Amino acid sequence: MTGLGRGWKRLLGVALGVMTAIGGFVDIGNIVTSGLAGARFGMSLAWALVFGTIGMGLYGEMAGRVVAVTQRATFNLVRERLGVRAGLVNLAAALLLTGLTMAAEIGGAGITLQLGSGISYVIWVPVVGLATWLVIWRVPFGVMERVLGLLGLALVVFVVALFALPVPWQELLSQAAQPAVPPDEGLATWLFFAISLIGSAVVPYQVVFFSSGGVEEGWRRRDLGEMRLNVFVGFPLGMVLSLAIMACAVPVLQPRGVDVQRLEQVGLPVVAALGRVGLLVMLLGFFAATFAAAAECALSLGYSAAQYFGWTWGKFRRPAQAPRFHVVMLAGIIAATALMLTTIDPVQLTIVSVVLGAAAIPLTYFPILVVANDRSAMGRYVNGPWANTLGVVFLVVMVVVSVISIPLLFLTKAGQ
Amino acid sequence: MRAVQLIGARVVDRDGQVVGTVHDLRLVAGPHAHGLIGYRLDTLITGTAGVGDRLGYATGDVRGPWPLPWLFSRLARRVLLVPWRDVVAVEGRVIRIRSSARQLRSLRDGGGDPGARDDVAGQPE
Amino acid sequence: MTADGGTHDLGVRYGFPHRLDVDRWLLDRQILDVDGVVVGTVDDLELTDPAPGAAPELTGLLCGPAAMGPRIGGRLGVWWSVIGLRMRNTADTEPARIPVAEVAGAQPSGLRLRMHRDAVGTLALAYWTREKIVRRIPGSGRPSRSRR
Repeated sequence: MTGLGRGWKRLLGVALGVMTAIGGFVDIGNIVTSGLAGARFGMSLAWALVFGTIGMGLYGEMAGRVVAVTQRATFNLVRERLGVRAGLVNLAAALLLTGLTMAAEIGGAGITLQLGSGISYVIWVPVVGLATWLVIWRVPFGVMERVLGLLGLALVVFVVALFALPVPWQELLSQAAQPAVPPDEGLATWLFFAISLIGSAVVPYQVVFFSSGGVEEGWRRRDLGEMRLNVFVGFPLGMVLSLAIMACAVPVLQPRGVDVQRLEQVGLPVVAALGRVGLLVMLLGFFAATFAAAAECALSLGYSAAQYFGWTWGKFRRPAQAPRFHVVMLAGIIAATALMLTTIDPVQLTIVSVVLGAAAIPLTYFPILVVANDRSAMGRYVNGPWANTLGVVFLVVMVVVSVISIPLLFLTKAGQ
Repeated sequence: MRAVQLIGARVVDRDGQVVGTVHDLRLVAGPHAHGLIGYRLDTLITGTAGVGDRLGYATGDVRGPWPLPWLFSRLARRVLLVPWRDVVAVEGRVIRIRSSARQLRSLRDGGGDPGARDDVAGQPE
Repeated sequence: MTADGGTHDLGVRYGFPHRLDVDRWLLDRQILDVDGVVVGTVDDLELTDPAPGAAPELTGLLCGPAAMGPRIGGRLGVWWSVIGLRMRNTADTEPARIPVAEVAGAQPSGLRLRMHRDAVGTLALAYWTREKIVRRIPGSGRPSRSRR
C-alpha cells in the first residue's frame, strides 16, 4: 500500500473511532433523561448536559492519558491511592451502581425490541441478557463495538426530525442560554433533573470501560492524539445527539403536557416528523445504544473487581485464562436480568441509577486527578493548569451534587 | 512478620503518650542489596494523617491540583518518623518505643525524600 | 501484546530507590509475571522476625485472600480469608508468597517478576473458578479474537 493509501486507511480508522465514540456515548440514561427533561423543562436544562459532558471529557482525557503513560487503569489507581478499605467502599459502590445501570440498559433494549416486534418485553429481557453475556464470552468484542457504535449513530434521526418539526428555534435558544425554572415546576424537581442529566453524561462505568479498554489496546504516548480526538470530538457530538432528543420534545411533548413515563414517548417526535421510517431507524439506534452499553457495563463490573483484587483480566483473553473476571460478569448479568424480570420500571430505574451514579463520581474521579498530577508517574504529561483548574472546579461541584442528590431523590420522589 | 502487623498499630512512647498510628514502613537497601533483596526496615512512618502520604503528596511528586499539596504539607508536619531501633516491643496492635515523642523528627524537617528522583517517571517510549 | 494478552516490554524496567516507602512502592501494586500478565496484587509483605538489635528484612510479597483479609480488617476481612482458604486443596493457611528474589524490577503498571505465572502460587481462586464454573461452559478455551 502506498504512503497515501496508508494515510487514508489511518484516517478512516480514526474517523471510525470517533464515530464509535459518538454512538457509544449515548445510552439509556441519556435517552430517558434528555427526553424527560425536554418534555417538562424545555431547553432550560441544556446547561446540565453541557456541564456533564465537559466533566466527562476532562476526566476521560485524564484517565486516558494516565493509561497511555502508566498503563494503569482506573481501579488500579483507586486501590493504590485510596488504600484497601476506602478502595473497597469505592468498589462496592461502583459494582452496585454499574449493576443497576446495566439492568436499566437491558430493560431499555427489551422495550425497544418489544416496540419493534410486538413480542412481550418479558420475553426479550432474558434474551438480551443472554446476548450480552455471549458478546463478552465469545463474540469478537472489537467488531461488536464498532458495529454497535456505528448503528448507534442512527440516533441522528432526532437531529433530522428537529429540522422537520415546527421547532421554535428562538425560544429554544433563549431557554438554553438563560436557564430558568419553568413556571409550573418546582426548583427541587428542576435541580433533580439537572443532576440526572449530569449523571447521564458522567456515568462511572464509562471511565472504567474507557481506561481499561485503553490498557487492553496497549495505548502509549503516540496514541494520545487519537484518544483526545475521541474524547474531545466524539463525546461532545454524542452530547449533541442527546440535546437533539431534548429539543425534539419541546414542540411535540411539552405543549401537550406529556409526562414522559415510557420510552416510546421519547420517540413520539420522531414518529410525528418522519413517520414509520423514522420510527424504525430510531428503534435501531435505541437498541444499538442500549445493548452496547449493557455489554460495556458488564465489562466494567469485571474490570473494577479484577483491577482491585489483582485478578487476570481482559476481554481479549480466553475465559479460561481470566476465570474470576468472567465469573463476576456472569453473576452481574444474571443479577441484572433477574432484576428486570421483576418488571421493575426501566425508566424509573434509569433515573435513579444516573442520580446515584452522579453522587458516586467524586470517589471515582479523585484518584484519577491525583495520579494525573503525580510527576513521578506521569513525567512531563502531568496536568497543566487548565486541566487542574477545570478538574478541581468540576469535582467540587460534583461533591455538592453528591450531597444534595440523595435528599432531592427523596424530596421529589425521584422526579414525580 | 508481616507488614500488616505494623501498619495501623499505635505507637506509644516511653511516657505512655500515643505518638500516632503507623501508616507506612520505610525500608532501606543494605550494603549488598540488589533488586528487592536486602532491604531492611528502617523507619516507621507514624502520624495522624496518612492520606496525603499514600496519595503521593509527602514526597513532592504530586504537585497539584492547587489546594491539596499545601494542605497535605501542613498535615505532614504532624507525621513523625520512628526509627526501628527505637522500638522496644511490639505487643499486638501497640508498639512501644524507648524515646519520647518530642525527640522524634517530623517528615518535613529532614525526614527526607525516599529517593523519588531515581525512579519511574516519564521514560522515553 | 502477546497472543494471550501479555506484554513483552521487559526492557522497560526500573530499579528500586535506596530508601523505599512500602505504601507507595510495593503495597497494592500489581504483580506481573515474566510475560507481563497480571498474577496478583501485593496485598501484604513478608519480613523476617526482628532479632534483637537487627532490623527485619523484606523477604517476600504476599497475595491472595489470606493476605488480603487482614488488610481489610474486621469481620469482613476474616470472612474473606476464610473463603479464600477454603478454595485451596491443601490445609495450608499461609498466604501465597513470592520471594523477593523473583522481582526483576518495577514498571509503571506494577512489579515485574522473573518467573512465569504457572510457577506463581497466587492463583488458587483462579483455578477454582476455572474448574468449577468456567470450564463447564462451552467455548471457554478459545480466545475472543479480533482486536482493532
